[in-house]
This record gives sequence, C-alpha cells and structure tokens, in this order.
Amino acid sequence: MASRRIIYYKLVILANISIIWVVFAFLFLYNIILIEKELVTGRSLLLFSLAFAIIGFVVSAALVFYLKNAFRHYPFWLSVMIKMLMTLGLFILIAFIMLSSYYVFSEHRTLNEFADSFYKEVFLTRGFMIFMLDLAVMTLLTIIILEVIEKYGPGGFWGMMRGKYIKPRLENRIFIFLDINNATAIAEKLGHKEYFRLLRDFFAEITIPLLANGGEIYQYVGDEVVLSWKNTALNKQRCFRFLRQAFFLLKRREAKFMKRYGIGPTFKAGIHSGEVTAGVIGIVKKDLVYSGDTLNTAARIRSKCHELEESFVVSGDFLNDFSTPFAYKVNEIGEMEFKGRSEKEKLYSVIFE
Amino acid sequence: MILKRIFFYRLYLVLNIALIWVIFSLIFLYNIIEVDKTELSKRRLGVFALAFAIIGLIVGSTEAFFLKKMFRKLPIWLSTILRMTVTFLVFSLVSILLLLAYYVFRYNGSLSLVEFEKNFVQKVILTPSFLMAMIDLGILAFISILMLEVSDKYGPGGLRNLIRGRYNKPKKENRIFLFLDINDSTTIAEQIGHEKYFNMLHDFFEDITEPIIANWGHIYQYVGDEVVLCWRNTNKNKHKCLRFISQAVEAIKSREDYYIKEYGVAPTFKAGVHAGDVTAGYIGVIKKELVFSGDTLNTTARIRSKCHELKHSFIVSIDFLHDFNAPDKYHINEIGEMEFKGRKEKSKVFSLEFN
Repeated sequence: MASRRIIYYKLVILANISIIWVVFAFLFLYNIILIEKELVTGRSLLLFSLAFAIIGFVVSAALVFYLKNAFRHYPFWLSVMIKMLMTLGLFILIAFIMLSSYYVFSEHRTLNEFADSFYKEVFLTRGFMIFMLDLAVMTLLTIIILEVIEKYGPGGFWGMMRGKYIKPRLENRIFIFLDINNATAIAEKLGHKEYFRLLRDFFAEITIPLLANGGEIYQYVGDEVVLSWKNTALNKQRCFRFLRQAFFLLKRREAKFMKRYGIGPTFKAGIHSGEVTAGVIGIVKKDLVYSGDTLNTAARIRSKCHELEESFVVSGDFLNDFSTPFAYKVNEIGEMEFKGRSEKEKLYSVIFE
Repeated sequence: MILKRIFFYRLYLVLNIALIWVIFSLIFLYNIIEVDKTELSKRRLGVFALAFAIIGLIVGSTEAFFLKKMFRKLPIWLSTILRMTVTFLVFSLVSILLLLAYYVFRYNGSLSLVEFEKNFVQKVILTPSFLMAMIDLGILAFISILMLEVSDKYGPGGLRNLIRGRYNKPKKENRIFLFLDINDSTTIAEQIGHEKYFNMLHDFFEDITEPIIANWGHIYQYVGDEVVLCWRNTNKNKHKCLRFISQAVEAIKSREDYYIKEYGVAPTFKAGVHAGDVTAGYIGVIKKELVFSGDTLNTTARIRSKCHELKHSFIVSIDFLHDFNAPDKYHINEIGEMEFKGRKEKSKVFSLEFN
C-alpha cells in the first residue's frame, strides 16, 4: 500500500533523530563524567547512550507519528510547550514502568515499597532534574528539526548539506503541473478561507501517492503544485502511477470532501520533460530553483487541459522512448508550439482503464 | 544612499544566536553545577552566562558577516568544518589574549612567559574542564551555523512568523505584489549558455537583495527566472515599493561593468505591480510552505507580462495607485487598459518612470 512509503519516510527521519540524541547524550554525559569521574563507569556509558537512543526513539516516534499535526492550529510556541509537556509525561511514565519492573522482578520487592523509593531516590534527586532538563532540550531540538525538515521537503535538507546544487547543473527532469479543476468557481462558492482549507486538504491527500512514487514537490505556485522526477524510464512509469493513484484516492475521499466542503475536488495535470538548470538562488532567502523553458512549456501544457477538455495532457517529449503500460490509454489530441522549435509538437491525453 | 539594511538584518540574527548561546550555556553549566555544587557559586553563574553571550556574539558575527560568504561555493558540510576550525582558532586566540590581559593587569604587569605558561597552559588549557568547554563551544558553533543556514531558507521574518503561528489559520490579507524578471532572459540564456545564465541570475538576485531589505520587502518566491516580492498594503509600503524599484535600477546600473566583463551582457529588468486581497496560509505536509492564494497574484503576473507588449519596464495597476499620491520624482502615466478576472469593466494600467 501507498501509505507504507510514508511510514518508511518517517522512519528514516526517526533513525536520524535517534542518532542525534545519542550524540547529545554522550556530550551531556561527558560534561558530567569529567567533573565526577567515579560517578560513571565505562559500562554505564554504553547503557546511558543506549537508554538515550531508546528514549530518543520513543519521544521522536510519538512526535513524528502522533503529535506532529495534533496542534497545528495553535501557534508554534504554544504547540511546542504542549508537546514538551506531553513527552515529559510520557517519559516519566516509561521511567516509572521500567524502574518498577526492574525493582519487582530483580529485587523481589513490592510495588508499594517501590513507589516510596521511586519518589525519594529517583524523582526528587538532582540527577533526575538534570536528566529532565537535558531531555527537554532534546525534545525541543527534535521538534525544531522536524519542522525544518518539513520546510526543505524530502531529501532537500541533505541536498543542501551535501552542497548538491552549489554549482548550477544541467538536469533532465520530468515535471507535472497539477491544479484543482474550477478553482475560481469553488473559491467563490466556498469563500477564500474555506477554499484555502480545501486546497490544504487536497495537497495533503496527494502527498501519499507522491511519496509512494518517489516524486519531489518542487513548489507551490498559487493554487498549483509543481512535482518533479529525474527523467528515467522507471520514473516515467512512477509518474503515471502517481497520477492514477492520486486520481483514485481522491475518488475514494470524495464523500469526505463532500461532507466537509460540499465539493469533491478533481484535478488536471500537464506533464512534460526536458532539460533544466538546477541551482540554489538567493542571499537572504535561498531556494533550489529549476530554470529553463521546460517549465514554461509544462505550465502551458497544463493550461491546455482546459482548452482540450482533458484531465491529463502529456507532451510528445515525455512519451519519447517510453512504452506506456497497459493500464493507461494514451491518445493523440492536438498540437502545440514549443518555444525555440520550428515545428509544432504533439500532445496526448491519458486515460486510466 | 541605501542604508546597510543587510547588516542590521544579520545583526538581528546574531543577537538571536547569542541568546541561544546563553540558554545553552546555562543548561551545560547546570549539568555541571548539579553534580559539583561547590565548584561554582551563584556569582559565577552570571559571569559564565555573560562570557557565553560575548563569545556567542563574536562567533555568531564572524559567521554571519565574514565566513558565510567566504565558503559559499563549498558544500555545507565542508564549509561547516572549515568554519568551525576558523571559529575555534578565533576563540582560542581571543581567550588567550583575554587571559593574558587578565594576568598582566591582575598581577601588576609582571608578565613573564614562563609564569604564564605555568599558570595558563597547565592550569587552564590542559584541564578536562577546558576540553569540555571546547566541545560545548563546538556544538554551539555548529548549531549557530545551521541556524544561519536554516533562517536563509525561511527568509527574513519567515521563522518568526512560523513560531508566532501567524498563518496557522488561513488569513485574508491585503498585499502589494511585485513580479520582477530579467529582460530577454531566453535570448541571454541562449547566448551565454545555461550554466552561465544561472550564475548571472544568482548575481542579479544578489544585487537586488540590498534594495529589497532596505525597503522591507518580503521575498515570496522564485518562479522560474522571476522573483515575487510583497509588502502589506499600506501607503507607506507603496512608497517603499516604488523606492525599491528605483534603488534596484540604480544597483544594477552601478554593477553594469561587472556584468559586461563577466557575462558580456548587462541585465535590465521589468516589473509589474498590483495590490489586492489574498489568502495566506501554510500548505503541504512533507514540504510546508507559506502560500498566498488568490486572483491578485495571477493578475500581477499578467501585468508583468504586459511590460513586453506595451514596451514599458515598469507597470503598475490602478488598484496600487488607489488612495496614493506618488512623489514627484516618479512619473506615472496611463498607458492602457486590461481585463481583470471577475471585473466587468477593464481596469487601467500605468507606466512608471523616474529620473
């Protein structure tokens, strides 16, 4: 299923964050060890980092899978506070359960005794306070990292770190321009704020098939989203599969949208592929930018959808060297001028069977 | 004269970073204090925080003002390592000088290098605490570098808006939009090749950054070779918007020689200005972005594309000029009409010139 891909994507983020937790755990511990050497032995160093890895994993899993969107209507600082309190509560609960089971099973004491000693020997000690503080810092960092990763998009953060686009480079890419049908009419009917929420939900829905097919969100331009793949035969198939999955997913979600907005959104898309120059632009606001006629052409192909009354229009360049799978029906529907070419190029429609 | 706004913008970032340094230093210190209470008294806590604030300011400003630009062409992981090494050296130098001064003044100027070596090298540098402080500093320097990078991705004010949660609920706003792009971009790209063209685009955007910041413009996004700027729709911002255009023209003109030398062409630009209501809010799950949605943007894009047709560099709409008396130095003339979506009558558009 498509949503498995999202879990996988989130797991990768989780693993990265757990590593950061371990690194910081070492540092925090190092601060302590150096002052008081006898306090910590070599064996407990390993235990400590293992414990931090587990805690980090649990806390960030809770954040990634459940809490991420739970408070998204609150201001960021408020949602951070709430999340931190919740993770703190979660952590105390885990610590309590783990320690109590340790006590009950390995030292054969009763729970009552344990509760007593838990408060006196663990909860109220300074070590525990430090630990809590370190944990709070780590949780804050995790929340911020998750937010920043989201801003960059999948792969964007590492691309930036690796300096992939420091020098502009020529790339052959597939682009899909995709937008909601009858956007203006819907906006007038719903009012602008409600329309914006519809747009947000719509983009959230198509994220699932997009991740499942390894696509990249290039940017949002007005009510339109621009998606992109590297131009390979496999990615062309993925690109088609994305359209199909998104189309049927929205059909399945129609009832939900009808209930909430009174409208079931459908979309149109224009697909084109070709060479673009990719690079990072800007000084105080940096962004990865694809520049070239390919993008303008793709946008014009998308605007042809309306004219030709087709939902999905594909350029001849995209279909070049690509035998479409059986599940898709591709028909020639017209011609269009491409910038910089003397002859008109053919356009094709895509229908799912 | 254009105020050096970029300087203030960077200074503001540095202050934020210094604040983070203080917070972290207190946490690091707290880790130590709790373990070994006797070692540090209350008074030293304040001194420690102050010291960290100063170090943070120094490190942050070297990063923001000098190092960031120096290693721009390198991948970030490499430039981070280099920058951290430089930071470390700067810090060691500063701390040695400070300690030297402290010794000289404290002990009435009797500076003998042997004694200094005995007191300083053995008692300070070779202790575990110093090593620890160095590691803490390393982490903080790393966080500072990342923060500068991330704040560049969000753009000025972007992070603050996110933290304040200003657009968590979609919000209707009245804004001025300015679409700006290079004249004859396709021809230039064909003439000098795509890679060189992209470098020129980069330089061009760099050169207009100063006027953008000086006039408090918000960089909304880059669409292809075009950049979209916006302001809140107030009378004052309309002045700023016009001032931006004239300053940007100046800035590009003053760099003409450089462009000719480097690329063989001197870029000029055209711009379309319009104002109106948009809905602002965050969109996206795995890639979250602040998005302005509405016909105002499409109209602005169409006004900008009229520049070519009407052969004027700068075109403003009647909506922008509404309730606004442009200063005398701007010459605004009616040049035509165009259809706006959702309006029965055609609306007037005007050309903008200045001397």
